[in-house]
Amino acid sequence: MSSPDVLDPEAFSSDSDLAGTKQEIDRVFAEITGAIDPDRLAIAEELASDSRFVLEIGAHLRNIRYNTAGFDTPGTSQLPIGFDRAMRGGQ
Amino acid sequence: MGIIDSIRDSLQTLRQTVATDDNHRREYLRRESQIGATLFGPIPAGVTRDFFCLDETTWVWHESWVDADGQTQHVSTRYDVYPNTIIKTQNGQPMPMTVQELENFTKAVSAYYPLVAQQVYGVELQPAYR
Repeated sequence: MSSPDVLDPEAFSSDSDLAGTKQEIDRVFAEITGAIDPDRLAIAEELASDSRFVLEIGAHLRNIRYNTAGFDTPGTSQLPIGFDRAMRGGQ
Repeated sequence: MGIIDSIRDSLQTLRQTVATDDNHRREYLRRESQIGATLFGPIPAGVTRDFFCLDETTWVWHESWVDADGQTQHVSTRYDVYPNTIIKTQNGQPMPMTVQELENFTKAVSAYYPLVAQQVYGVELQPAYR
């Protein structure tokens, strides 16, 4: 069975395919973070809350570094340029 | 001066600028890490510890020591922070975070920020962040 061409918009055209893909992404994501274990579902909510807090701290630190020491300008993140901004709804 | 010489000089200047900027950044991160390393209690003898904010979305914990066979061992833990989760990788392998670890990590970040802001960058924070 050949792999779908990910550059072809028709390759994942049906809703079921899209749903399956999203479920798989969610499953892998949850597995990595440990949230797939029913006993550990509580950590998912805590993770969400804490991650936003840590991101806010990171942004403040970046501003302090840039304003006082002249480094860590926006875009020095290890993530692809624009990725983190896109994750926050383009703000 | 020919165009080749001009380009060579420009490249050399650019390399020096990049190297200087990189050293500048490393020096500040090293100072941050010295503070970060103290946030998790006493460091055992023979262990080198680092904890620092690499960039806005990435935090790093690193420990190294020499084992009984004289070999240097190290554990490098990276926390990639996303708006709804934190992905932990240890020596490149994804790992789940325990509730206790998440709590410790968040506490460490809370303590790191005001200390680093004041002691490394001379910035006094608003009470909400202290």
